[in-house]
Amino acid sequence: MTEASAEQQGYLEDFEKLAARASRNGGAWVGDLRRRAMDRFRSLGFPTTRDEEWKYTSLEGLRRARLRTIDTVTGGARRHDPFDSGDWERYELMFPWTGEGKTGPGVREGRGRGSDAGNANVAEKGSNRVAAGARDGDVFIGRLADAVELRLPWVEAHLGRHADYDGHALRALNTAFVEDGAAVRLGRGVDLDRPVHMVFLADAGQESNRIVHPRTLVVVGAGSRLTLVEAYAGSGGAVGCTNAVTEIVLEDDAELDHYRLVREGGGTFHLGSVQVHQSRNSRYRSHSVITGGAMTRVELNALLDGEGADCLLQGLYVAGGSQHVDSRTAIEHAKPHGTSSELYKGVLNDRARAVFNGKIVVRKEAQKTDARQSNRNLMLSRDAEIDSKPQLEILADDVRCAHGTTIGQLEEDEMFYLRSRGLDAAVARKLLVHGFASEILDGVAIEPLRDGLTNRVLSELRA
Amino acid sequence: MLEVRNLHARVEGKEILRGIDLIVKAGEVHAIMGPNGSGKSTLAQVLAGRDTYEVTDGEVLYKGEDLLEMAPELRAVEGVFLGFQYPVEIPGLNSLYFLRAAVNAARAHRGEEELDAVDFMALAKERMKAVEMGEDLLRRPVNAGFSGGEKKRAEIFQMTMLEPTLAILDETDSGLDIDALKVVSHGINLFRGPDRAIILVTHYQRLLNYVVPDVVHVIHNGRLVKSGGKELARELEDTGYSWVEDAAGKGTDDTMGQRTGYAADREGGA
Ligand SMILES: Nc1ncnc2c1ncn2[C@@H]1O[C@H](COP(=O)(O)OP(=O)(O)O)[C@@H](O)[C@H]1O
Ligand SMILES: [Mg+2]
Repeated sequence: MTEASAEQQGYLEDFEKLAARASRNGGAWVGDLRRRAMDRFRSLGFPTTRDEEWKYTSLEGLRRARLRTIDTVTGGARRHDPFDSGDWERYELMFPWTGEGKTGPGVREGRGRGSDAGNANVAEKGSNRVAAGARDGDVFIGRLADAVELRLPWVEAHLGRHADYDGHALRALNTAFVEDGAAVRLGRGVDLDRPVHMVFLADAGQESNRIVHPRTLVVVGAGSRLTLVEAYAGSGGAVGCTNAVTEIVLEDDAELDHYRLVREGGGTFHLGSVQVHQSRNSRYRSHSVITGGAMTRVELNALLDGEGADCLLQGLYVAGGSQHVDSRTAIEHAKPHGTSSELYKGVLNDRARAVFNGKIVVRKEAQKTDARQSNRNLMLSRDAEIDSKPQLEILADDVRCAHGTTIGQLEEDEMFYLRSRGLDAAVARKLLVHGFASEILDGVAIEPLRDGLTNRVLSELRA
Repeated sequence: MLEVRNLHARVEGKEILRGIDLIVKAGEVHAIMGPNGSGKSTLAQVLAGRDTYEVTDGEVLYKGEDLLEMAPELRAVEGVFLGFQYPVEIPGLNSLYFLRAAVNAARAHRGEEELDAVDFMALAKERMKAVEMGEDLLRRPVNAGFSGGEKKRAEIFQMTMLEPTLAILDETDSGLDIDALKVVSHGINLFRGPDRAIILVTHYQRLLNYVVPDVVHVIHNGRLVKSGGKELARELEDTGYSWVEDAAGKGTDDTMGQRTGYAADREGGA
């Protein structure tokens, strides 16, 4: 075992506290998982820009900040909708991290903000009342800590099995602190009646220099369908970090619409990592929208590990000021007849810097793969920067693969057309940016959420 | 309403407008005709405020005010409308949303209340009928995938929604079949009125059979070389632009090559 460096010291201390406190819960395997991951983090240390995968994104600020870990969420199920999306039917899971108390979140059925519908803690009951036709125990929507404590077999079967942390310090760190976060599982053939909305909130009450490690596990059983909204939000400029890992398992013929939304506060590092495991004929649709935060990096990896799996990745990142946003996707086609289609769009203003890295791997046996990737960037300022890099590793011979990158400015003739109709330059600019972003935003099927996101994106663009 | 004096403009160091003088009064329809490349679109765009063209000399007064000092959006809300020769397609921008914003910008400037979505829709439906434009076009992004003719109808429709005082229509007739031409002309004629003025920029005489102008000007090489009544348009139809070029005392220049193309019924313009 290598000696822990000074920057790791605080993490080790926090880890020992958690290990002592949590040793009683959920069986020995969780403790073992944590400890293995902590050992891994110790030997890996934080990545540096000498690391090829981190060439354009520096964690120097994070390393220097010496953050302390908050490992449990607090407060009740305080309602919070970071995108002010208003009224829509959903199951809500709230995770406010404030570092003050020890109570977990509740699960609510509700219609969003303002409503106070019954507080059904689906987690505790493992109830099936939420889904018509589901057999008992088929649906779990709740807190990961509860799922672990209840020793639900699917948790042990999947937690930490997909999001490999061997070469990944941040995932290792998250796994070392795995305790709180969300767990959702649908058994076979469940069509959940409304989306699950989980909000991870690092809000005003949060002290500076804190790091949280939200963990989410989602298992969608054979033939089941789920819509998941996973939102990370914060406010204020306090330095802090969200280091989130999401593991998603789609069994045969399962379908998931996954909205992953980031709207962190101005001083926050958001480091997110999503690992999707897709079985035969499963369909995964990801819609990722990133605004806010000092530095955001979201990695999304999908393994198409069954024939005929389909993967759609749509992303939008909007950055201004001196924000840094890094999107890294990897789609691995491991079996034949898979399809993947990816479109990431960026709007960059001021001195913002963005990185896009899109990797597509087609393994030798993954014949008849159809993979497309496109990254398009709209630069609103001469000082903004983008590093966009497609990375293709095609080992099969009978495949279709296409990729493209564009980097452009607002079109002068479009601006003039709008201004000649009486719209001032700032409004014209907003309309054109919205037009650019709408290709992604229109993919948001929950209409109030789409409107909330649209407003959010437009308000990022100071005229 | 509009007074253009000795207007010079250039683009990329090349002088294109070389002393335009033009006076348009309220209630009048003026036609500006000329071969491709003579500067018709440049004049139209300079009047609308496009800054790719640099005005090097001259002045333009609109309702007595210095038009050249105004930003394009101010000209628009003050009542200047340009119907583009080539309207741009803006994928992702909803036509309805765009047009309501434009209508309300003008209303706000006049101190009027904004139209809500319902009232706007009612007005839009009524005005669309006049140019026989399908409602489905409004549900699409601005001009996206419109045919040439649909784009021109949409321009006229926008004009009738925005109710400008001075409409400059740049080759609104080109690319239209005869039925569409009649419809568009009908839209323009409905729009005519004693408080409004129209400048019809065109390559062909054909439109002027339906929208009869009060004055016809011939533009050549960045200058208005001849003005007359509506019969001047017919004269051009019969003789082409060659005499204009001879009268202007020019030898061979690049605009002359267009002479034979003028009568052809196809999308014109440079
Ligand atoms: N943006 C531009 N850049 C360079 N040259 C231009 C531009 N716009 C017009 N021109 C040139 O100016 C001349 C007049 O063009 P234009 O006004 O479009 O003529 P018309 O509309 O009469 O056909 C042509 O020679 C054309 O090539
Ligand atoms: Mg022209």
